[in-house]
Amino acid sequence: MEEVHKHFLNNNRRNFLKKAGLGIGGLALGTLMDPFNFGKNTDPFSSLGNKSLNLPHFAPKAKRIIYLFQSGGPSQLDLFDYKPKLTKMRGLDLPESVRKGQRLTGMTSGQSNFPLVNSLYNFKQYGESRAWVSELMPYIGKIADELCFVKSMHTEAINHDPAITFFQTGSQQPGRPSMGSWMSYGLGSLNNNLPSFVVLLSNGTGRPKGQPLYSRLWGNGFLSSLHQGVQFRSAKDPVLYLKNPDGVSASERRKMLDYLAELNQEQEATFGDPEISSRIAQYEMAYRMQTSVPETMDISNEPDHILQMYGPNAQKPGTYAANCIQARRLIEKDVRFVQLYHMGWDQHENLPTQIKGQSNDVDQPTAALIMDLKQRGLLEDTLVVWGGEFGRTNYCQGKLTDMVYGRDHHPRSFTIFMAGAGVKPGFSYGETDDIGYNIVKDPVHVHDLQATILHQFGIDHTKMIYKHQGRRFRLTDVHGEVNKNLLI
Amino acid sequence: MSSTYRQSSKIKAENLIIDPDNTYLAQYPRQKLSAEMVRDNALASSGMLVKRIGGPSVKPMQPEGLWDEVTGGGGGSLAFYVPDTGENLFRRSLYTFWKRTVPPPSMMIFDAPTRDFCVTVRQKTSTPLQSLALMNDPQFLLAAENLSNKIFEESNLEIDDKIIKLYRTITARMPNSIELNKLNQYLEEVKNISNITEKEAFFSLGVLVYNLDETTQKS
Repeated sequence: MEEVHKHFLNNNRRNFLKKAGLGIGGLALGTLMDPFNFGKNTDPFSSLGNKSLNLPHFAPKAKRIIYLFQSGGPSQLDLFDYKPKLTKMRGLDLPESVRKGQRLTGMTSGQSNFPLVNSLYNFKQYGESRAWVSELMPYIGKIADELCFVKSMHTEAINHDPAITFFQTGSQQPGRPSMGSWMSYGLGSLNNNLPSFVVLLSNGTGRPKGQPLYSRLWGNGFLSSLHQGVQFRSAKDPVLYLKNPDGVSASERRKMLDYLAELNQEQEATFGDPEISSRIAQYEMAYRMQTSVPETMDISNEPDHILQMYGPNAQKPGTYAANCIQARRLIEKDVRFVQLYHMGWDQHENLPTQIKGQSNDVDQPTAALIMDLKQRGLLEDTLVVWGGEFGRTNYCQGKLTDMVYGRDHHPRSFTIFMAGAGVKPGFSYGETDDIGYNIVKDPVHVHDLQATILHQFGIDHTKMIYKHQGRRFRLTDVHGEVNKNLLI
Repeated sequence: MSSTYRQSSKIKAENLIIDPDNTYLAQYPRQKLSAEMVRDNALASSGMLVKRIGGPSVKPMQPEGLWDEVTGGGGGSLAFYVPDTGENLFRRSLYTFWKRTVPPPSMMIFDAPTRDFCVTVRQKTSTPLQSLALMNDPQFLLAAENLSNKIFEESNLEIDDKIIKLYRTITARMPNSIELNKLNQYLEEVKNISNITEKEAFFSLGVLVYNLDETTQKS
C-alpha cells in the first residue's frame, strides 16, 4: 500500500503544483516542469530541468540532439569498417574458432556453410583523420574530419524489434520510455511553441516494405504522456488532429478558446483544482502549435543553395533529405530531441544493389545537415548521431555469386558515427578483427553509448531515475559506463 | 456508496495546505476520465453509442496512413488500417482493435497504457495533443454535431432552454447564470465572426462544451 502511495507522490508536477499552492505563483512554478510549456529562457544551460532530479547534474555540452536512426541494420562492412583481408578470404568458410558457436538468426542458422564475403565497393581514406569510407558514402567521406566513428559498437539483441527497442529505451522488452521521453522528463523543453521530442519517418529505397517500425518506439512508457514523441508527418495533418475542421476559421477557434478559458476559470474558482490552470495552458499551447508546426514544416523560404546542399530529394516531403531539413529547422526552434528513422537497411539478399540506393538516400543529406548546423553555429551544442540497431555479418546469407550477396544480422560489432556537442571530431574509436566479426579493441555497448549521450546533456545516467510500481528505472537500467574517450 | 465517496470535490483552500494530496479524503478527488471513458462519454452523451455487448474487436475512425507509414505497406492484413463502417464506428472503446506496435492514437494521447506491461495506476496529464484531439478529432466533432443538431431541432424549446439542455446532457449539471450568459454570448459572437447560421453556431457551442474541463472529469 505504501508503495502505491509513493507512486502517487512520484507524479512530480502535480505534487509540486499542489504544494506550491493555488494561484498564479503556483501556475508559474508548475509550468517549469512542463516540457511543452515553460517560457523561453535566455540561458538554456541554467538549471531549468526537473527540479526534483536536480538536473542538469553538471554543465552540459549538448543542448539538443538529432538522432538519425538507420532502421534495419546498415552493413558496416560495406560502409565504414574496411576489411581488405575479406577480399583474400572471399568464399572461405567462417572459421568456427571465430564464431565460437554464437547464436545466429533463424535466417542463416540452417546454412551448411558461411562463406566470407568482401564488399563489392571500394574504400578510400579521407581528410586529415584518414578515415576509411566506402565509395557508397562520398559526401560523408568529405566531412570525415567532423565525425567521430565508433567501430566497436555491440548489442545484445539479434532481431529488429528487440534491437531497436534496446537502442531507444535501454531494454529489449517494450514498455520503457524512449530516450527522447527521458530527456523531456529530465530536462524539460527549450521552447514554448513546439513539443520537445519530435519524430520524423522516411522509407528508404534500399528495401521498401522491409522491416516495420513501431510508434511505441517513441512512446513515453511509464512517464507522463507529456513526454511522448510527437510525430511530424508529411501528410496533410502534420501533427495528428492539428488542423481545424473545414469551415472553422482561426478567429472562430480563438473565440472558442477565449470562452473555454473563461468557463474553465469559473470551474477553477468553484473547485479550486489547480490542474484546471494547466489544462487552460495546454489549450493555448495547442493553439500556438496550430501556427508554429505548419510554419516549421513549410520550407518554401529555404534558399536554393541550401536546398541543393541536401540533394535532389530535398523538396520531396517525407524523404530522408526533406526530413533532414526539417530536423535542422526544428533544432533552430530549440526542439530538444529530433528523432529521425530511415527504414530499409535490412538487406539480407541482394545487398549490393539495395545498399547503393539506400546509401544514396542518406549520404548527401546527412553530410549537408551536419555542415548546415555547423555553418549556423548550431553544431557546437547539437549532437548528431547516425546508426542502426546492429550490424551485418561478414559471411554471405544465401548463395554467393560474383555480383550478388546478402548479409544477416550481426550484433557483435558494427559502426555508428556522431558529430558535434563535445564529441571528438576526426576520430575513430574501437577495432574489429581482420575479418570484421569480433571486436578486438575498445568495445562500446549500447548502454555505454546511452550513458555517454546523457553525459553530454549534463545528466549522470545513474541518477536520472523514475520510480514506477515499486522499482527504480533509468534509461541504462543498472548498466552503462560513460566513454570519455569519445569526448573532447 | 459511502458518504466519503459522495463528498463534493470542491477543494477548500485550507485543505490544500494541510493535506495537498488529499490523503485523508476530506473531499472527493476530482478525477480525469480515462482514455476509453473520454471517447465513450462523448458517444454516450451524443446518443451515438452502440450499446451492444460482445463480439470481435472493431476499427473506429483513425487518421489515415498511421499503419503504413511505419510498415511501408508490408505486413499482410495489418499493413493498412481500414476503418469499419456503420455501427462498428460507435461501439464502446473497450472493443477498439489494438495493434500493439501502433496503438490507437486517440487512446495513447489520453494516457492509455501501451499494453506492453502491467499498469496499476494510469498517468493523468493535460497535454496540447489532448486539446487538439478534443477540438479536431472527427469522432468528437461528430458527437457534438449529432447532439447539437438534435437539440436545436426541438421546436418547443427557447434558445436558453436549448443551451441548458445541451450543457446538461454533456456535463450532467445545469449551467449557473454566469455560465449561461457566457454560452449565450458565445453563440452570438461566433455567428457574427464566421457569418454562419444559428444552427451552425449551436454546433460550434457543442464543440465548446465538449472541450470543457469538467466534461472529461469525474467530480
